[in-house]
Amino acid sequence: MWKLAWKFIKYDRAKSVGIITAIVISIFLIGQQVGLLLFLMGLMGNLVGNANVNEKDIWVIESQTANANTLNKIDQRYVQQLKSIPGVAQTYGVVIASGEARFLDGNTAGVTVIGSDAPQFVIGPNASRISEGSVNDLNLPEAVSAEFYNAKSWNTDLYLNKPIEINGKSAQIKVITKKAQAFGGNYMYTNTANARFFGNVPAYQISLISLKLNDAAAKETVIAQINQLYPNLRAWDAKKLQNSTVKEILVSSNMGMSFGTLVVFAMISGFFIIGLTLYSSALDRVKDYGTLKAIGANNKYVNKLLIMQAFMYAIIGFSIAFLLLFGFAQGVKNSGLNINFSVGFVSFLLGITLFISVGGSLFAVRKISKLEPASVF
Amino acid sequence: MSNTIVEVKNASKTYLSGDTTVVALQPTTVTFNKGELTLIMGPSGSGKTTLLSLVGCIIYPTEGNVFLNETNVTQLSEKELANIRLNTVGFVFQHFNLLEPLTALENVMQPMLLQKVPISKAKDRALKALEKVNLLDRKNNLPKKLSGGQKQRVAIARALVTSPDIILCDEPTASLDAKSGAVIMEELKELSRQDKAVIIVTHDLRLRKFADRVIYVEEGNVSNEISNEEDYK
Repeated sequence: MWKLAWKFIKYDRAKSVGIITAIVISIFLIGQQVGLLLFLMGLMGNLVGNANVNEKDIWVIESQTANANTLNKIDQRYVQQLKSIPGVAQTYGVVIASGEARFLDGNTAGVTVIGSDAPQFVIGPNASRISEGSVNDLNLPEAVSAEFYNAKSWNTDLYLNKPIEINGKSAQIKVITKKAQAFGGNYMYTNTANARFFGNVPAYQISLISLKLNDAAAKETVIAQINQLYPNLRAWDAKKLQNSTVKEILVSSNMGMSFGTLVVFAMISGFFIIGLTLYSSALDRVKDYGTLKAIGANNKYVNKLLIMQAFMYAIIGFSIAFLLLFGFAQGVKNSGLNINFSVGFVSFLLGITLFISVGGSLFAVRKISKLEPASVF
Repeated sequence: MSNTIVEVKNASKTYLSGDTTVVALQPTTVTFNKGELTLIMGPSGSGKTTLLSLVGCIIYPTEGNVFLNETNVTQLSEKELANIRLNTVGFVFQHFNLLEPLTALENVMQPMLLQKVPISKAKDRALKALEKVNLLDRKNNLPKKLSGGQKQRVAIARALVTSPDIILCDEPTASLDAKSGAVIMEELKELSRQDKAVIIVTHDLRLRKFADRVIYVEEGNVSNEISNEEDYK
C-alpha cells in the first residue's frame, strides 16, 4: 500500500508540492522558534549550567529572589556557619559583581564578574565550556575569562593574555570560554579575590554559597534544615534554582507567551493549510477512492491509504525542514546562537510534523469515509 | 444444482432528497444466472443503475433482500460487503474508472493486491489478463496515455483478473466508437459462455443481439423482458 500511496502523491504534483511546502514552512518556523527559545533558556540558566555542579550540590542564596541572575549579597560568615549543618561536607563562597570592561581599542561592555576559588571553582567555568587556557590560570591576580561568542558584540579580538580593564582596574584574559554566554549580559569568570577587587565587593559580603554534602546526607533534609534555621537565606537544589531562574525570566519578560504564541499559531496554521490541501487533493481523487471502494477496498483500507500519504508528506516535509533548520543553525552559529539538535528537540519537531500532517489528513479521511462506492456510477 | 447466482427478492430502494422521498426502485424480484449475458435497459433515471448497485453489493436495499450465492448480503457489514465485491464481483464502468496515478498493469494488479495476493503472483496474473485483451504492449502506460477502447479493455482485464462469478457493466460501450464497442461486447459475450453472469446496464438497443436476456426498467419498475424493440422505443 505504501507504493500506492506514493503513486498518488507523485501523480498530484502541484498539490503535493503545496502540502510539502506548508509542512516545511510550519516546521521550519516552529523549529526556529523553539530552537531559539531553548537556546535562550539555556543562557538564562547558564550561571548554573557553566558551574561545576554535582547532583547533590546545594546552593544557598538570599531568600528574596528565585532568580540566580539577580542575587543580593549575603553575609560572608554564613560560609562558615553553614558548615555546621549536619550532612554538609564543605562550603564554598561565590562572589558575583557587575562591572564595565574596557578593551584596548576603547570599546566597552557591561560584564558580570563571577569568582570562586581553586581548586574546585564551584561556579565554573566547567571544563566543557573552556575553549582556551586552563581554569587554574584564573587563580592568578588580574586573571579573568572572556566568552568567545561575545567578541563580535564587543567588536574586539579575544586572545589569551590580552590586557583589558574592568571598572578601571587592570585585568588580563587568561581563559576563553565557549558557549558560556549569559542572558542579556557577559560572564567573566575569575577567583573570589579578583571578583571582589574588580567589583568593589567588601570582604564581608558574598553572593552565594555552594554546599557539598557527605555521601550519607539527604539533600532534601539539609535544604529543609537550612531554610528553617536561616530565614534570610534560601537553600536550593542547584538544578531547581536553574529551572526557577528560567521560569522567572520567561514569565517576567513575557518571552514564554511570545514564543509559545508563535509556535501555537504556526502549528494551527500548518494544521489547517495542510489539512485543507490534503482535503482538496482527496476531492480531486474522489473518483479513484470511490473506484477503490467499488472494486472491493473497505473503508479501513482507503483511510489507511490517506493516512499513509499524510505520513509520507510528513517525512518528506520534516526532512527538508530539518535540513533547512540545520543550515540556519550553521549560519547563525558564528554569532553565538547555538541551536542544539538534541534527541528531545528533534523528536518534538517530528512529533509536531506528524501531528499536523496526519491530524490534518483527518478532514480528508472523514470525507472519503462517507463516500459511497455507488458514487462511481 | 441451481444456476442462479443473484436473487433480488422484493428489494426496493428509496432516497431522501431534502424532505422528499425519491423511489429509485420499486419492490423488485429478479434473478440472474451464471452463463447468461443479461441486459438491463430503460430510460435515464429509471432505476437501472440502482438495480445494478444492489446486485453488485454496492448499496443496501431499503426493503427486501438480495441473495448472492444464497447468502443474504443485506445483513452483512460494510467490510463484509466490500469483501464480497472484491471476490465475487467484477465491475466495468462507463467512464472506465481506472486509477489515474497507476499504469495499466498496476490497475489490473490492484484487485489482487486488495486480496493480498503476493506482488509477483499478482503481476504474473495481471500480465496474462492484459495479454488476453491485447494490451501487453501498453502495460506501463498511464490511463491518460490510452485510448477509450484501450482503457475499457484494461477495465475489463481488471474486472476479470480475480475470476469473479459476476461481471457488472455500466454502459460499457457508451464512451466507445461502434467498432470498439462491438469488440468489447464480443469479449463480454465470451465471458458469459465461461459460466459467468454478465449483467450490462445500457441504453443501446444494438446490444440486444448479444443478450441472452433483457430486463426492462421504467420508473423503478422491472419487467423480465421486452417483447420487441418497438415497445422500448
